[in-house]
Amino acid sequence: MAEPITVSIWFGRVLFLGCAFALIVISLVPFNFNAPVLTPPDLLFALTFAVLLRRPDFAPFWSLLIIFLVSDLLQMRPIGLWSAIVLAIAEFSRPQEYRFRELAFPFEWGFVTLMLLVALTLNRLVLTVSFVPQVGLSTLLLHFVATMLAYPAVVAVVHYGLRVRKFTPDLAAKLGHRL
Amino acid sequence: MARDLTAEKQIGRSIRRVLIGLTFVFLIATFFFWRIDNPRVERFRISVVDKILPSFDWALVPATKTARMIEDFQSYNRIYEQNQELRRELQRLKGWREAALQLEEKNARLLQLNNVRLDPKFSFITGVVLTDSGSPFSRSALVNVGRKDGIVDGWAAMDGFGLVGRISGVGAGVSRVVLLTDTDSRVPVTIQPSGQKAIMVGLNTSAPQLQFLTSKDEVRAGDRVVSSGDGGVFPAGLLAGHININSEGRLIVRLAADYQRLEFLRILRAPKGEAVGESDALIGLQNDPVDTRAEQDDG
Repeated sequence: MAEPITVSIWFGRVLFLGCAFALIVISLVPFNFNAPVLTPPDLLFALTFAVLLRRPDFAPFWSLLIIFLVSDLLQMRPIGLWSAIVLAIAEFSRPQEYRFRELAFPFEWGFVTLMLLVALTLNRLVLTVSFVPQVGLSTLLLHFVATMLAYPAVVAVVHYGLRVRKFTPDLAAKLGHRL
Repeated sequence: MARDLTAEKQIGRSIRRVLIGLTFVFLIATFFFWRIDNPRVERFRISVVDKILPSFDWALVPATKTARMIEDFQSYNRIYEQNQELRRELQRLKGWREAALQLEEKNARLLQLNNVRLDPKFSFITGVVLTDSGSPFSRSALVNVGRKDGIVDGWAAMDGFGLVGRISGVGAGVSRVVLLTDTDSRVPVTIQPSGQKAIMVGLNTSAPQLQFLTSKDEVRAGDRVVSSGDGGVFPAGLLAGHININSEGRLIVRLAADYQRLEFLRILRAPKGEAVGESDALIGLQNDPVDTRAEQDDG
């Protein structure tokens, strides 16, 4: 009786993992080695929160761990720090998901922006305290703004393209014991 | 029965909590380990990259090809202007070619007169660029040559035009090139023709900055910036770029290498230099010459 639901959950998980890895691979394509004029957004972060605040069961802890650890390793970031911060914030946001089911999108956007701000500030703080050389503050600010602006677009892709929708009360009741 | 279920659920939940906590401890510990013993963790990173990336080849090659095709298509729009520009340049270069040929002849004669042996040190290995760093905050590239091809940490990487970066991290089949624009990049350079020494510092922008210059007044925009060979990391005399002065009055280097499209990189084999450590080493009392690079690695 619960079989179709389990299948669809696993389908969603695989979909999320696939999209995340696609983003990592695309970011690695050697296209242009000039430093970009506008700092590109962190699409992985946006995708993670877009999925997490719709279907937290599609983005379980272990899959976030794999994705962010791999991206830490491949994208030459300090290993472990950004993963730890994103995972902590994701685990904080996971139980908040039900609040956004009925709310309009701007509230969700505001929440994710706040989370992003906290994540970047924490990251910068730890790196400063441990004397790791860093990029300028203006680059980081541009990165923050770019990610913030990219979030609605990512949500649109997740909602209309991947058809990952928010829980309907009906489905939430069915899955109740698993959440 | 119902009570069993809730008890089970609670146990499950606390196990989950413990596992999550342990993961955080592990991640934070990894970060501190990375901070404290950087070379070891970076070696681990490059070995992981070595394992993962070749298996991603099927995904990377079409993506790269598509990206390049789009870039090429965009350049069609400018093709007429480019053609005109190239014609003008060609005419100017024809004059230069004549001058160069005469100079070469003269140079060969002078070398023969002096009986100079040319330095065989500039041999190179060519690698194909696999990926870039994928992060907005660091500038590096991965090339498909590694320890198997005899690559050593610290060697210089060039494209056809100028210096691109240095090797930092060597795996069995891949190695990472930290570009001159990365915030970690520091290269000792000489400015020609004034002959001043400076350090070229990457800032994560398209043009690195010159720092620690003795006198800024002797330097003019357009001067050549070449590697000085100080510190024994790079061979001397590799062209890095030309000096520009930005709007804030700082000296920046317009890089000679074509960062728009890095496809192939030449990794220069650096010779093992001899270092004069003690004063008696110079007059030959110590027989074994000290290898600068080995000494630096140990230190």
